[in-house]
Amino acid sequence: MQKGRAVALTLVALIAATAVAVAAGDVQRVTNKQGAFKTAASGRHAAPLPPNTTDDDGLIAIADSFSEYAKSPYWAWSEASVNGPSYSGQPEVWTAAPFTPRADGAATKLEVAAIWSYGPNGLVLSLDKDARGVPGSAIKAWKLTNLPQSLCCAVEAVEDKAGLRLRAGAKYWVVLSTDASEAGTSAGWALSELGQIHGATMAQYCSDDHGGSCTSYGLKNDAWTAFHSLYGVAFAVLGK
Amino acid sequence: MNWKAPALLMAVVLGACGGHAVTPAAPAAAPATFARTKLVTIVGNLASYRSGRYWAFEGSPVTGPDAEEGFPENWRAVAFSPSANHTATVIQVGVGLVSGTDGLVLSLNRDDKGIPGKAIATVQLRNLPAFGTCCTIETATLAKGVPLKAGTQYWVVVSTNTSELTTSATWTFNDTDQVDSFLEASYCPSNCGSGSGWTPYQSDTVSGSELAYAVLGSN
Repeated sequence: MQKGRAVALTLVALIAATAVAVAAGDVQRVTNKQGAFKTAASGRHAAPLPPNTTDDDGLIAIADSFSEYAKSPYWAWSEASVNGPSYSGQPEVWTAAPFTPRADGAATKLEVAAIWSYGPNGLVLSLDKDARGVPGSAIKAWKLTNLPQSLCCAVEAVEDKAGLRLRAGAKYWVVLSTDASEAGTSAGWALSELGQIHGATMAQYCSDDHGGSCTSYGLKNDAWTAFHSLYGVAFAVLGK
Repeated sequence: MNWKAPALLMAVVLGACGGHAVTPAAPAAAPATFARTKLVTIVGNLASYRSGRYWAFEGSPVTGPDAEEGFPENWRAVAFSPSANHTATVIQVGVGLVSGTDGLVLSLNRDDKGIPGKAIATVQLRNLPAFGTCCTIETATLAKGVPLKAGTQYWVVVSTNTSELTTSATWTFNDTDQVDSFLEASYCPSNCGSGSGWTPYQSDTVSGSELAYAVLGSN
């Protein structure tokens, strides 16, 4: 394989009203113009690791953006950023994905494709109410630790055996964020392979109080910004 | 979530490969709508769902020599070995146009000591979708069908010709298997940093995901 391609191709194309840029090399990539995303380096493979899948039996998929392929349940080579405020001069960034149940129900299990890169190995996963189109108060939060560094195909899962009541037609958010113990954490939320035709809505909270620039990502400072992306993040809300 | 393995490598047989005339196939609408039920998947990695037949936003470059200043001509190939004898009648790839002349050459090649060799069938692709849009599959129908032998290595190749000097395109990655590594090759005539001609490599050294393609046919 050839190496050392240094020339950058640029492309500006309108795709669903979203401008994109292509950088050349051995991998060419189209990136969403808004939001904080990052790409993964090669060589971080691991054997497929679909934990807790047997526990999914009998549960209803209230929302599910994982693919059906065990060796590729999500796209692991690009991620939405989830960083603490002290990570390498970058702004603090949290990422959230919305869903709207079609029927009243109760969420008993959440699954996300969270991948750790650097710093304290942990994140906060929460199920939040909606607050005028962005994540609001948390209904429940869980601490995630020992996140995988491998690219594919581990899935982090948390449970609430009693079930968190959800109302049909109401918008909720699954949120990956950091807490005070994860100030130096750099992690990512891998992308969903589904919905590539129309893209997906997502939201990111950004704060550049400790470094970086939220505006460089098209994000508000110290606030959530909802936007339409070429791609969504991989998650599932299961229940009864 | 429910998990399953992608349907890979199935049928195949028939004698030696000959040089067959090939009729260019019109690019399929998104996604392809041909009568796939009559075909078997000889090899392939395309996903079954409409909104993600492949990962539309990343791939490997396929460029003509004048696509970008200082950017070498670059072709790509993916290797496969049928598990049984088959006749190939359809080749599918997930490619997108970045800039330049709207066209690519899709071919089915013999193996030549571990790299793509002589083309068995060649098809001209036109009206390529824009790179970054999902999920048109370029479908080439082989007029007579190409016999493939079990256990023999072949290559699906995407390249440019003399009318596509400025073509800059991307062969996208599959989104059904990011775990296993597959044999691919990159062609560069010169000034590529690691020699000229075809250079084989394992897919996981580039992206972790094989180029998106399928070879269909009959048993």
